[in-house]
Amino acid sequence: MEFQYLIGSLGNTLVIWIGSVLFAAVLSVFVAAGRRSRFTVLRMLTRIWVALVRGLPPLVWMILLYFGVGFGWLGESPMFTTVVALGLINSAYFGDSIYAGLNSLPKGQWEALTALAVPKWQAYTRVIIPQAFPIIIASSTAYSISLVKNTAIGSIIAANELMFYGHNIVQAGANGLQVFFLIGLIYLALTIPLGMLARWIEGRSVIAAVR
Amino acid sequence: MTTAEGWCARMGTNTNGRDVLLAARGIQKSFGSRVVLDGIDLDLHAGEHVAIIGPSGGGKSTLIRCLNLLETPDEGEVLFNGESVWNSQEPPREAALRAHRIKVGMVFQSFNLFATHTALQNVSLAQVHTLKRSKAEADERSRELLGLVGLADHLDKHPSQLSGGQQQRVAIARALAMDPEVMLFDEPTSAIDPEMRIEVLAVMKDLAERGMAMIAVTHEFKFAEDFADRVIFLADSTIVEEGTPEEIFSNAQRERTRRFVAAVAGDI
Repeated sequence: MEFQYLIGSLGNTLVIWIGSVLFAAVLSVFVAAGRRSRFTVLRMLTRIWVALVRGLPPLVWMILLYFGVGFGWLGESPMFTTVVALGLINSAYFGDSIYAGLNSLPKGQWEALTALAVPKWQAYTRVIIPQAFPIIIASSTAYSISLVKNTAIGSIIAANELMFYGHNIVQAGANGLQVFFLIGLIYLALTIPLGMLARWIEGRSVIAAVR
Repeated sequence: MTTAEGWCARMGTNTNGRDVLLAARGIQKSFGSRVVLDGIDLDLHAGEHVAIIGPSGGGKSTLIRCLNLLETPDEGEVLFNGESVWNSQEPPREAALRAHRIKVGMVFQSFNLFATHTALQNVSLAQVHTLKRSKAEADERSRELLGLVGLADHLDKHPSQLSGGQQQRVAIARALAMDPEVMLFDEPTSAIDPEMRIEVLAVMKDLAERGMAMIAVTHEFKFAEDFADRVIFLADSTIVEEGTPEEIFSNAQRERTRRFVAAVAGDI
């Protein structure tokens, strides 16, 4: 009974998760590009952005966006606000993965590309990104998994996800210990297989990187 | 102006009549407070083969990297065919640098092959993206060049499947694919097992015999002796002495040169 009710919210938890991963992935490309920019101002701005995102608790971001920025269109939908908040926060972490992945290549790869006068765009798309990609994927998978757990903070602004449903039924008189134990199991049922998937991807990317 | 004056005044012509292809003037370079190159002048003539020798940290690699502007000098000028490619008075022109690097091929100590590409793809990549050759045309040229360096049977192997000597030969083919007029070699055999060095040196000698203008930073005296028209001894950020291999290896004028040659040759 309780279980069925809780499972009903699982779809929303997954929507928040996938939505924020995708949003973060798109934004992170700009974060990484900003950090590698040859313009000092752009590099500075990106660093400030990353410091800001990392320096504030996700909960504070969530509430700021909901009540501060969001009294118009954003505040209307707690689900949407949660996706935006988590996406913004993780863009900094994903951006770091991309930045670190690109920087992890031996300097000689760039030297060879420069010596052969290969244009920047082709240098990135043909040589640099194909080599950095497995490394980037491996490190962002770890962030993506912790993001599953972070969807729970959506409950603070009443996004209809798992944690919020849990609160609801406890408020309505269900046994809190039982309910949250169950919620814990459901999260584990998500994160453990994802962790296994991540290790599998990581193993494969190591092979790809060595090849 | 008489014809003779006009001839001699023409930029890029030296007394023995061979054109100066690549020239460096007053190259200064420091890393932090350490002066690595202190006012180096260097001319490379068409078809000439120059070996640069000297102790580690003496500035050999930095000098050769300055010649294709992989390293930007603090002061000085780099010229190709008498035309300024880069000088410290003007802001760098990206197009001029790229055109220069196409004409000046570079081979690195650590090969620097593209790890995710096969030997053939390594040689074809810049032909397609820098020279805008068609893929078919590029691959045909790559096969020809990889054949010339003795790797016709290894076209589809990745760098990790090749020995150091084989990787370096792919790197030479990759540089030659741009049809350069000058080839620079930065300690091309230092990272290769002694037994495998021969095959790289043989390719370089073959290239020299075909008339390619070359500069090689090397520790291989025996190779330098039969490859080079001129040997430059670079130490303490400056050109201490230069001359024919005979002059430098058997009859050096400077004590510093004699000491280095004796130490490397194992006479001490």
